[in-house]
Amino acid sequence: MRLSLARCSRCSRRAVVWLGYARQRLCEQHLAEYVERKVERVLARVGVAGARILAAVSGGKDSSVMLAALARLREKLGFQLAVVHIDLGIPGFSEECLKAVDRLQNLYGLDCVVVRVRELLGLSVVELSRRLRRPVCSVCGMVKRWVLNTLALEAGADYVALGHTADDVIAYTFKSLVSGDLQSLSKMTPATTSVEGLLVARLRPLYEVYERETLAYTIAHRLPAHLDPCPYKPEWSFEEEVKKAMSIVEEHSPGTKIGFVRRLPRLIQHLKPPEEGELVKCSVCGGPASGSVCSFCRAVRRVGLEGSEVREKLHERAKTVKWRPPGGREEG
Amino acid sequence: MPIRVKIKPGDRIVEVELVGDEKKRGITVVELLKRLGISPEQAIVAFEEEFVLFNNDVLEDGDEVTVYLSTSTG
Repeated sequence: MRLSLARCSRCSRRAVVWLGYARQRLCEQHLAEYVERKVERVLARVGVAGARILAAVSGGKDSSVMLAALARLREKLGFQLAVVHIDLGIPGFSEECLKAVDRLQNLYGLDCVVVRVRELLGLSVVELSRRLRRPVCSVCGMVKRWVLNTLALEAGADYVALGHTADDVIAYTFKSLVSGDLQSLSKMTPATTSVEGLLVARLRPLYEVYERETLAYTIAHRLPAHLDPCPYKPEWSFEEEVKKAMSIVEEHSPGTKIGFVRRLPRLIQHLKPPEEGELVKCSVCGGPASGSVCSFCRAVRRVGLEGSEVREKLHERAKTVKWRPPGGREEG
Repeated sequence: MPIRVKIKPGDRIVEVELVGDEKKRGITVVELLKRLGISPEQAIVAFEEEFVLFNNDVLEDGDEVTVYLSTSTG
């Protein structure tokens, strides 16, 4: 092997990555700074000073990089930070994810709240999906959305931060367009809006960060992350095919992806999505619902559980959420 | 000896034979990815799983590298 003489565009260190759209070669250090600067710009535009951000960390590369950036920017941008991980109970996979999260929280001195689906429901998401006769991914998504929103409400969070990258945003956008789902498309912004007492806003700090950048960051900085995909991830998915196709477009036309996500919020402003039925309070768990009972409560009722009891367990868990204020020690 | 490539996720092993002039000059990381049908925009190549290689770094017979696919990793 012969290493090239390529030097970082910003210093004399060896370059590890070429960012075609930015026309820059970056070393490990400046790659991290570059990613964090993009996260900072997104957060500054959203306006997170004084906010409480609950970072949802799976143990994968994207949410690990998101947490690394949030931990570094907390003081500068003046927000409070707490971390949550959902243990889905998937044999062989969830243990590895949890190990990565554990190492990550130690690295950044943060106290992560672990919510175990098995403790909440007495079942893993896989077992629940079998009992409901529904695909694992659909049940997993429903459980994660409910747990994150409920925990965030109980803990008084202003935002739930998700590790969605620019590639994810583009893939979800295409999927929404193809299926004519303008409602979902209208939510493809760096931050969604909250509904008082019902729905906590979603924040996407990695909105302008490419997945290849989170991967390079993770490997170059030996960031704790479990890089294997979930064993239940389908062989083929629309989103993954869009990502592959967009990588080829990006290779031949650098900047296509970043240009798209930067223009997307303005494009969305001009959208007139069909009126969303007003969200109401679920009569069982008190969470957001489009009818009288939310989809989570309807699902768990089929396995003999009541959403209100599950929420009660989560209420206890929320008491252990530790908010790390900017520049201070954590508070309960 | 060919270049031994481990593709993650999945840990599939692929051997890439260098031919003709390549045996002397080697192939760059980008050329390796092209040979594997992978877009350089979709992957990061590393030596010993943690030393990230740059696009122009040259691989020679007997080298062992790992290709990480950004869209498929967890």
